Amino acid sequence: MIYNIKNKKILVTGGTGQIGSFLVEELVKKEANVFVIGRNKKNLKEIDLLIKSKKVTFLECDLINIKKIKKIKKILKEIDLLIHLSSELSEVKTNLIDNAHFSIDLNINGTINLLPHLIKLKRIVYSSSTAVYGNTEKKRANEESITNPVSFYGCGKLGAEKYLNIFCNFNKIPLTILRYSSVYGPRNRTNQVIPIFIKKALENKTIILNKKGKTIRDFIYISDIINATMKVITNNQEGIFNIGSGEKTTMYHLAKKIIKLTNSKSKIIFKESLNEINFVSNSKKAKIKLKFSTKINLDKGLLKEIDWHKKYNTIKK
Amino acid sequence: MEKILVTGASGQIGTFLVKKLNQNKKKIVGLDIIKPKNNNFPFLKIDLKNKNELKKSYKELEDIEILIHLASTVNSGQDLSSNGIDSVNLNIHGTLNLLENLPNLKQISFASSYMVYGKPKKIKINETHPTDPENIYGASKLITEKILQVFSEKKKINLKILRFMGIYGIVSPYVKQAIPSFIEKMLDKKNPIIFGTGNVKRNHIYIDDAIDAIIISINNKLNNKLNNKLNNKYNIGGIDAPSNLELIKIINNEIGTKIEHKFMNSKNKEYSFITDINNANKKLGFKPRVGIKEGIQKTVNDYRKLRKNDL
Repeated sequence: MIYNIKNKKILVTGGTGQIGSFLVEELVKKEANVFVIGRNKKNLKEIDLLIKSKKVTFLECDLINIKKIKKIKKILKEIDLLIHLSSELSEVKTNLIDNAHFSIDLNINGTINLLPHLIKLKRIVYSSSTAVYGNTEKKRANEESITNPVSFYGCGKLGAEKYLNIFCNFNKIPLTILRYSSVYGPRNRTNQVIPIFIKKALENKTIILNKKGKTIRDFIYISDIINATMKVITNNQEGIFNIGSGEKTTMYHLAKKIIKLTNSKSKIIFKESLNEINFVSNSKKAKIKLKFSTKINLDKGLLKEIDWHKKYNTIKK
Repeated sequence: MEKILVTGASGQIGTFLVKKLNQNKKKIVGLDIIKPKNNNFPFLKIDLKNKNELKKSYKELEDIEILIHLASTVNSGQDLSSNGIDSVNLNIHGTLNLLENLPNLKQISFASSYMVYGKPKKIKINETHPTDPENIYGASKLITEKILQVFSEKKKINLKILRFMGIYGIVSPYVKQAIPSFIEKMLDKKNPIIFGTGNVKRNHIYIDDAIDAIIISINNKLNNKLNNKLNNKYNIGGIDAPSNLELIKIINNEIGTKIEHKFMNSKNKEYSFITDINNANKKLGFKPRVGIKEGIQKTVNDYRKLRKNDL
C-alpha cells in the first residue's frame, strides 16, 4: 500500500542528526509538513536553512523534560506520523552507570513522555539499531534472532522497541522498527570507528587495532539508509527490518582502505585487549519486502565521508 | 558470612523470604519503601528511585555480596500514559541506582516474570522463547534483565534471572492473583468472577516453592559461562497447571461449598501459559513440592487464620 506523505504532518525526533537531517531534506522534497524536535535551537546544522525558510518547523524540546513537552502539546496533537530517531551518538558519559541512566532516559523515558501527546497519530517509524542483538556469534542476525545487547545503548534501544510495541498494540497504531547497522558517510559527527580512523589517517598518526584487527562490522552508507527509510515510510510496511549492507568488513581492512584513500603514512599496530564482538546483519527481509538493496560500496562511501570531513574541517590538523 | 541484601523486603515474596533467611541464620539487610511488620532484622527504608538515600546508606551497603532483587512496580497494564514511566523509573533506573551503590557485589538473584515472554508461541514455554512483552510490567522486567546482564558481564558478577509464574498464597496487599481473590470471595460466600472463558491454564506456583527457588539460586555458586546467556535464565513455576474453572472446583471442595462463578467479558485476548521449568530443575536442582490441591488447602487455612487474627 502506498502512503502519500504530501501535506502530512510528520514529526522527526533527532532531526538535526546525521540520519535526521538527510531524511528531513527528503521529506521536504516530497512536500510533507515536517516538524523537528531537537534539544538545542543553536545547533541546527544542516537543516538551519530549511527552518529559516519556514519549510520545516523546529520545536526546541528535550523529551526527558515533561514540562517542555507540554509547552508544544498543541502541535503534537495534530501529528500524523512519528519518525523517531532521537538517540545518543555513543557512550558519552565516563561512568558506566551514568551511561546506562543516560541511554534509558533518552530512549525509554523520552519515548514514553512523548507518545501520549500524539493523539491523532496514524503511524510510527522507529530507528533502532543492530546493537539490540548483541553477540550473535558466527550467525548473521535476522529479525527473529535472540536479542541480548552487550551495551547499555543496546538495552535502551531494545527498551524503546518494547514499550513502543505495547503502545502501538494498545492504541492500534502500525509500527515499523528499523534496525540499522553501522551508519557512515557525510555528517558523521560520532566518535565511532570511521571518523576516528579518518582523523588518524589525515594526521598520519598510528592506528591501533584490537583483536588483531579481526573484528567484523557491517557498514552501510547514509544514502542507502535514507533510501530504505523512505521506502518504509512511503510503502506503509509494518514490523521489524534489519537495514544493513550484509558486507563483512574487518577493522584491519577498513583501516587499510582509509589509509589508502587518504594517501596517509599512518601505520597500523595491533593490541590484545577488549573482546569486541563481530556483527553482520541479515537484511533479506528488507530486500524482499521493501525491494531494498544498497547502492554505495565502502570505497565510494568512505571517499565521500573523507571529503566531507576535509571540507568542513571537522578534523583539525 | 556473606551479607545478603533483600530489596522489596516488605512485599509479597520479600516478607516470607526474609523470615526463611532469618531461620537459616543468614546475615541479611532488608530494603523497601514500607517498613516490614516484623522488624527483627537490619532494615533500610529507601526508595530506589532516590540516589541520595542510597548514597547515605553507604556503610550498610558497601559490604553486601549477594543481592536478592525483588523490589518492583506491580502494575501490569498496557496504557503507557498511566504507569509507563513508573515502571521505568523504579524497575530500570532504580536497579541502576542500586548497582552503583553495591561496590562489593558478587552475586545477583533477580525476580523477573513470565510476562517477559508475551503471547505464547508454543504450549510449553522455555527460556529460549521470544520475548515480546504485552504489558508494561513485562517490558520493564525484560529491560532490567538486560541491564543486569550487561552489568554482570562487565563486573564479572554471578547473575541468576528467575522468571516467576504467578505466585499465590497469603498475603499480598498489592497484587490480586486469581487464586487468593477467588478464595477471599468464596470464604465470604460470594460468587468468584472469571474473566473470559475460564479455560486458560497457568502453572501457578505456591509461595513456599517460590521462596525455595530463590534460596537455591543464591546457594548455587556456579558461575555460568559468561557468554552463554541462555544459561542464567530460569523459569520458576508450579507442578500443576489448572484452569480457572478447575481452581474454583478445588476451592469449593476445600471449603465445603458449592458456590457458582460469574463470568465477565475479558478485554484482552486470553491464552494458556505454562512454563517449562526443566532448566531450573537441571541446573539449580529446583523442584516445586506443593501441588495445587495442597497449595489451595494451605492458602484457605491461612485465610481462615487471618480472619481470626491468628496470622
